[in-house]
This record gives sequence, structure tokens and C-alpha cells, in this order.
Amino acid sequence: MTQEKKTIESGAAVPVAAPVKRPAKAAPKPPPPPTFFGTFLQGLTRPSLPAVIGTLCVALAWLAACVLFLTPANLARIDARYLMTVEDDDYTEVSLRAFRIAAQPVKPAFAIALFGTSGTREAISDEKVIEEAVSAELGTQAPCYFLAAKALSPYEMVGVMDHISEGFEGIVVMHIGPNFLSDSGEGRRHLIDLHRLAFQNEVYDEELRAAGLNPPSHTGNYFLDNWRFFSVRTNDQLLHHLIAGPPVFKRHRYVDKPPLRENQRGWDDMVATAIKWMDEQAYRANRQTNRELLDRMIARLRRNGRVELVLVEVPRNPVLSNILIPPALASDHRAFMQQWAQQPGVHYFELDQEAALTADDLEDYIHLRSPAAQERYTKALAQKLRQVAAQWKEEP
Amino acid sequence: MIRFARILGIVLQAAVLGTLLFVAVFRLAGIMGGARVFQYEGF
Repeated sequence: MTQEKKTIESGAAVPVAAPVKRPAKAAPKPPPPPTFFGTFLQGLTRPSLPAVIGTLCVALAWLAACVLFLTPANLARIDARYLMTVEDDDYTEVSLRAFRIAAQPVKPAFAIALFGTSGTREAISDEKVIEEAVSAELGTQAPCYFLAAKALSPYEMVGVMDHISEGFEGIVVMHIGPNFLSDSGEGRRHLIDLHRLAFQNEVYDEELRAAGLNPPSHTGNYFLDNWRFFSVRTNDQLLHHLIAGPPVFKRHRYVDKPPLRENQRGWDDMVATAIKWMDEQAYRANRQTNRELLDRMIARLRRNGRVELVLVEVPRNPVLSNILIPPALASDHRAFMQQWAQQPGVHYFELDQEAALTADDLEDYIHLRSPAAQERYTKALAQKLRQVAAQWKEEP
Repeated sequence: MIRFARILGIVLQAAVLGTLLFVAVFRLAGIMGGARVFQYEGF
């Protein structure tokens, strides 16, 4: 700065540097024209108001589709086993069977509805054996509807029966036992929240109310009334089944398992569970109520046609049965059942001896594990139902 | 054509996100409402 000042003061000419010629600045390149794929990606990945509105519309469209198209009739048409959370989801299986039976355009002249719990599921080798025996007796096709599910309550059985009751004529088989008759409405309070089956109906609600429970009110739309059943089954398994195909329902889960008697600890645990399960006081308090529940069901069915009620004792492990059911209770139960069977159109059978069941044929208390025992038991039941069908034929 | 590509992208975005939104809300409502698959603790 000081040197520059001196130069100006001295009056010496200051050499002026020639202007440097810079190359002309290149004009900015125009952006490349948008490609189809680039624009598509932008629309796909960038948030925008139309995308938000579209997202909400699609979610509402799914809801509307469920409300409009998710109906028992449509579920009967497709293989809705996709909904099974596991391959032994009894409740989906029973619901779908009930939907298919109810959707039949032509009802058979004679049918057999077989209800029960897991003991029934394991005891019947194949319902076709029953179907063939009864059909042979009647000379007409008599389908057997297998409607057994794990711990299915009498209330749910009545609900399922009501669902398939239109045009139903034939035999209703109930696998029964002291445990079944111990069932109390109060003990089934959880059924209201669980929505185990994919439907409810007026009769089911009526019976729950009669048991002192308060079923939820209904909108009249199938999906809105049963959304919990579907919600709980909307999971990774559903996605897996949609990709890999619906699972094959696994019915016999105890076959070839070793009997628990061979495992002392397992046996002791099972005995402890069974003792809690078989409550004599509950049996005595509730057996008449459960009988009336089934009697009302049969009375409703008989308004539309002829129906026989067959009560069959569920197979029981003879060793455990002697521990759990004292002889006095066993004979009292038998007397109660025989007195029930005095009613017209009611039959009662015990098949354990006829099927020659031994303790080793069962895995625990009520689940048959031997295929040979299952066949013997099913044939014994088929024979009894054949006799009932023969009476039916004789007394039109 | 370019306009169509953008609309197609938005439609696809809305379809995917709308489906996920429906499934998430439906599942969450079930969980909040106490829905669960029944597990029997006896036999």
C-alpha cells in the first residue's frame, strides 16, 4: 500500500496491464429431457398431496371391499384356509365347513352333523366310514358333517348348528361326557371377546344371554360383526399362505405319539391338569342347564324337520377315568344320560368297550393316539348310527 | 406420456401405502380390541 502511494506521488507512469482475454463462458447445458422411468420413479417415491389422498382412498376401498364382499357365501366359494394361522386352526376349519354346508343349493334328504371337542377330532378316523354305513342303510346319500374343534363349547355348537339348520333333517351327534356337561356360561365369558368362530347368530346370542352373559350388539353386516376373527388372522402367516398356498388342515395330532404313561413326569402333569378340569361340583351344578341347552337346540331344529339327537360318550382313558371320576359319580352320570335318552328321538351310547379301547390307545385322557383304535371307535359309532337310521326308516 | 408416468407412480405409491395402512390399522385395532387366537390350556 505504501509503495503504491509513492509511485503516484512521483508522477511516474504506471504500466497498465493489458486485459487478459478470457475464453467466453459456455452457456449452461439444458437439463436432459425427463425420461418415462425417471418421472415414474419420482411419482412413486416422492411424497405428494395426490399420493396422500390416494393412500387414504385405497385404505378406505379395502375396508369397503371387506364390508361388501367378505360374506359367508363368498368364503364358502373360495378356499379360505388361507386364513388359518396354523395348520391346526380348528375354528377356521369348522367355520368354513359350516359356510359350505349352509351354501349348498340343494339340501340332502338326510344328513349327520357330528359335534365334539378335540377328543372327537382324534377319535374319528374318517367321517366317510359313518357316511357310507348310514347311506347303505337308507339307500340314499347321507353326508356326515364333521364339526369338532378343540374345546368347542356347547354354546358354540348350538351356534354352528343354527347356521346349518336350514333344511337340515337327520341326526345330530353330540360327543358328550362329564366334562362337557360341567361347562358353565360364566366359565365361557371369554368366548364373547375371543370370537373363535367366524360367525355369530341370534340363537348363539340368545343362549349366551340365557347363561347370564351379555353378547355384543350386531350391526347386521357380516364383516363388521366378525372383524376380530379376521383381524387376528391378518399376520405374516396369511402372507405366507397367500404366496405358498393354503395349508392342509392337520386333523389327527396325537397319532403315534407315545402314551403319556411312559413318561412319569408328563403323566403326573396331565393328571394334575385333568383333576382341575373334572370338577364334580361344576358337573352337578351345570349338567341340567347344558341338557336344556341341547334340548332347546333340538326343539328348534324339529320345527323344520325330523331330527334325532345321538349322545355319545367321548372315549376316555380307563386308568385315568377311574382316578378322576369316582364310581358313584360315574354311575350317577350314566343314570342321568339314560334318563335323558328316555325322551323320544334321543339316543345314548358308550362305545369304549365296543371299540375295545385300552389305556395305551390314548395319549392322555381323551385323545386317541392309535389309528387302529380310531378305526374301531369310528366303526362302532357308524354301527350305532346305522341302527338309528334303520329306526328312522321304519318310523317315517 | 411423461404425465402418465407420474400418475402411474403416484397410483402405485397410493396402492402400496394404502394397503399397508389398511392392514396396519386393521391389525392394530384387533390387538387393541383384545382379539387373539384361542389357545386352550387344558387338554
